[in-house]
Amino acid sequence: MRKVIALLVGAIIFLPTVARAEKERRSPLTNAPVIRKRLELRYKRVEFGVGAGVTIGQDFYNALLVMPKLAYHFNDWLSLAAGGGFNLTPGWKSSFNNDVGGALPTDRNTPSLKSPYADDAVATMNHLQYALFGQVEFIPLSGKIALLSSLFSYFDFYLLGGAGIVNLAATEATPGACTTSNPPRCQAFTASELAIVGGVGAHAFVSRWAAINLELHDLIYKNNASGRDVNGDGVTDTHDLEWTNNWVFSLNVQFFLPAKAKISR
Amino acid sequence: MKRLALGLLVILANLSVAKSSLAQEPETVPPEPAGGDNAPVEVAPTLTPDLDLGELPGESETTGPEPEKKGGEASGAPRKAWEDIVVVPRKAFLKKSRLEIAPFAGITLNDPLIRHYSFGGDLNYYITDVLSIGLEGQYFIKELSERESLVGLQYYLVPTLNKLKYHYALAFGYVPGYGKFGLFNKWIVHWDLTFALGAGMIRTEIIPRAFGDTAFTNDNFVGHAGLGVRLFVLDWLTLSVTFRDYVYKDAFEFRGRDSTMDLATVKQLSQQSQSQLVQNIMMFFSIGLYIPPSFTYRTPR
Repeated sequence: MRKVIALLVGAIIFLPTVARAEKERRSPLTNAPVIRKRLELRYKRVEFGVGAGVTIGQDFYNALLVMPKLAYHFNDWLSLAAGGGFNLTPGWKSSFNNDVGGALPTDRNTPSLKSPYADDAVATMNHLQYALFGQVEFIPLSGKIALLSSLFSYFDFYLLGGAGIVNLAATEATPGACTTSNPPRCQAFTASELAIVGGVGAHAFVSRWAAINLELHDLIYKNNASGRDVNGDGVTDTHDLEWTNNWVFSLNVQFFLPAKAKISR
Repeated sequence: MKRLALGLLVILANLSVAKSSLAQEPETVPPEPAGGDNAPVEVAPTLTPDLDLGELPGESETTGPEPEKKGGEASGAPRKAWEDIVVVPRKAFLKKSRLEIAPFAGITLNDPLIRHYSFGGDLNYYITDVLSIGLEGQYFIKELSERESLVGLQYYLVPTLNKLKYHYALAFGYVPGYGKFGLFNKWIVHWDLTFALGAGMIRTEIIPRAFGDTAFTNDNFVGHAGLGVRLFVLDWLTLSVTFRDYVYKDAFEFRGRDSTMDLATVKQLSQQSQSQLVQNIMMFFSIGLYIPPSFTYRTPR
């Protein structure tokens, strides 16, 4: 009888203890963050710098832009930035522009049945003058890279989104040949347009206070780049505007303040 | 009575062992910054293989700023068990002596008048972990853009265009960079940079300006350079994004073509007067499947 009581008392005390011990016997790394002593290179820091950008896939004019940028990082993964791009090469024609200009008649003494003269056609093609934008940057990825097994750099990738204004200009808004009707047959679309901004970016840190910043922006705005009829109604007006994607790739040198970065636990 | 005493003794002994197993704090090890001058010590290699991007060997921390200590990170705060464990993960993926079969889909980026979608594949053999040799092949499907359709309406012109048919090449690959990043500081993802140079043949076909005219094809020598990013998903699976620039000389339809010319003459005149250097920049998404599907590390952890 005593033996049975002893075993029962033992079981009552022993079994819950074993169960609890089993439950709590787990990896000492269970709650550890995946990266420790991580340099939080963006955490509550101001970022500023300047660089160069280039448009990609534009119909008539490419643009080389000077692109300043200022940002504040609320934490290591979210920041608010303002930037802009100012066209240094308003006369940089695309190959398609050259092809069109080369194929159209140039001599005004030779009557042209329907084709516009080259000067008139090129005059109404617009180009990006400048762009100003604000963007929110979300940085889900950050890490390190080894280049040629000898150069080590911290880097991050981010998504960006925001809004801005683009200013479009042309060499001659309404050439004489366009004004034979009202509204005109052709007129350059020169205006400041609201734009939606989306894209991706990356920082490659060369020190704890300086980074190479790559960005790919898509400036989405309404445009009629040719300044000619699009919808087939014979005139050029706001009904000919269409949403367009305008890609800009930029490379900046950015600096961070304060110069020291926080290190995580 | 003896049995009762023995039973109680066993219970007490068990309690003491159990208590030790569930509540004992790990012995305190003097903290040592990861990646310092001393080699990091791997304490728990089998528990969590992908940890600690703290510092890579070769990069000294001694000149850096001290960690900011605030709130719960104050020096007097209790240390977590994991803070004394240093883990350095190995390279997550080895490619040497493996064959990569990589089907891909791509799109041309830089022509405002005609867009091509591409479907094909790469077959690469890795001589070392960073060098590969392989074959590439792709078939193209064309799509005319809206700008192309407006050329006629706005300028009364018909554009002279060629469409791409197919391409094949011999390519050499190199991996100049290898990295890893934390995704929301929850997961580690390994990736590398890829660079490729290749040479091969591309077949193009003119799109006749006049309806009913016959088309001819060109077989052009083409060189390409590529840069990409590859993510390692499984021991046998990768995902890649690659940009490639194809450069070749192509012959476009002769401007003075009329209906009396035979095709051979048109082709000859086109090659003589309408040849241009063409650049096609393309973006590809690919899935890499590796054979053999697993690999073995040759060095100890």
